[in-house]
Amino acid sequence: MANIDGEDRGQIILVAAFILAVSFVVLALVVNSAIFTENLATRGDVAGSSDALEYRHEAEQSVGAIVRSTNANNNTDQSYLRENATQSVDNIKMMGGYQQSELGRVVNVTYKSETMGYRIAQDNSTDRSYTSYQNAPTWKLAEDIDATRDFRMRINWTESDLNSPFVVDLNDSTESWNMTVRESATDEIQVEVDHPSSPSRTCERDVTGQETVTIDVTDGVVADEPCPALTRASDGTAMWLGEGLSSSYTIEFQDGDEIAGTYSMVLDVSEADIDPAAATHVEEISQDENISDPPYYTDALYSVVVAYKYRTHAVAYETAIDVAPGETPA
Amino acid sequence: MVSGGRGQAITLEAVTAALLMVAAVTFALQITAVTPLSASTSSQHLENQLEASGDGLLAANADSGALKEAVLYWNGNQVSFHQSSDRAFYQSVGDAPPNNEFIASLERTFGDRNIAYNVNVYYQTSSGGTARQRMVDQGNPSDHAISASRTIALADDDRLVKQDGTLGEQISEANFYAPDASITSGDGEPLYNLLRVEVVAWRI
Repeated sequence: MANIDGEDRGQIILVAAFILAVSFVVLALVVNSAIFTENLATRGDVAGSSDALEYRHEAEQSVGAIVRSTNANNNTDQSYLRENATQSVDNIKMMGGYQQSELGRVVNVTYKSETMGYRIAQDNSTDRSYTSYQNAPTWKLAEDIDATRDFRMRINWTESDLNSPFVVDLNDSTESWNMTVRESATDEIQVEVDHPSSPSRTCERDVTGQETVTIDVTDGVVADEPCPALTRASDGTAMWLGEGLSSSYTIEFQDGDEIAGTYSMVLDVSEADIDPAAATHVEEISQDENISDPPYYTDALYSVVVAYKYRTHAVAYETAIDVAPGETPA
Repeated sequence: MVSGGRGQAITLEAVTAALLMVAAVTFALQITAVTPLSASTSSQHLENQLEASGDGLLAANADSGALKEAVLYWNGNQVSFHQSSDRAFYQSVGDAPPNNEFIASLERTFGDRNIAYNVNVYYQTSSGGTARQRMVDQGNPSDHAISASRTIALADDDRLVKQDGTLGEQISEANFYAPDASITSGDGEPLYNLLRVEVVAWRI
């Protein structure tokens, strides 16, 4: 290539190509680091922190199932309940600990304490009306109640005559919360909640042709569908059972002769306040075989407190869980 | 004057430069080719979303009681889940969904979105280990599968669910896949077994 005017033009092109190549590589690095940042941004701030809360919820539900089952099978006294609940939590601790260890987590659930209460129920199969032991239509179930959970009613719709309403009334000395159950002109079930601090609210469910209708008062479910009247008003104000009352109230059934079926609730209350001496009392039972027609009360676990510890290589979490299945939020 | 060989030389230089350019661009493109957020079945976003769907699905079904019903939807005589044809577990759920709210909600969530899923139930054996019972099996998961799991406790007085959805007999070692694995000294200890239901899902 002798005798050319621009003798080193070929070199310039080569150098330019080399510079371009290097700048592409640098560009690639910049883009890659941007992608890496983006990738990190799609993850939670602490890897696996939500798992700690998730398993906490699972442990709470597992212990809740045990508390319900322990109460359902109770036929003796408080020490029997306590012993069985403790043992079940120990079993959950072992099995759950083993299963979670396979996922790379160390989890410990231990029994700490319990709150004893009483379960008031009428769960015979003959669908007696909601009257007292001595057939009074309006009667007090208990007084000076601190809290109520798992209040469920199963209404025999064909045997009930709810054209005139049945009322569950909760009151402390000054305020009253009540739930009115009636049948509308179009054969729907109407549940109306009157509440001390906001306007009353009603929900209606079509129950045509159904023999039984269930109301889960504490979970806010009527005939298998959520009933907002039993949970929140439209402005977000809480309306659930006992909202607006002091933590010492009375539960009274009014016009219980209009309604028939079964019910059950667990109360945080002392035995004296279920008032066995009064004429309108519920009957205590001590053996399952002795469940008879009228309502009865029996020892029950109101709530159980378990200590929860969760550890992975990145997360350590410890808390106490208060397990009271079917309790309205505080 | 210019000699006769100059045109050839310039052409050769141009070709070399062009080749260099192309090589540089190819090299740069290859470096950026694999990105976690590229739109593909292995996108990190998709995996995160799928995992969140799985977790949410299990949580919702556990709260409504459908998850427990699904694990108890068991035929003790045939040693299989109800309506699961000749195997003990479900395979092509879309064609013949069982009368089961949990499986139905899985199918609603994943079925028409090109997502395959397996459901495994891990339970405690009497000897202290864990064992697996498949509930849904749609093949081997890919490398980009996610897994979500949920623990539920069964009590001694829980009952099997019959094919029509009504309650059947009480669970026992004789009619259920999981044994009563709780260590007890008293007779009233209510825990039967602790199950971990795992959903494995992946894009196909």
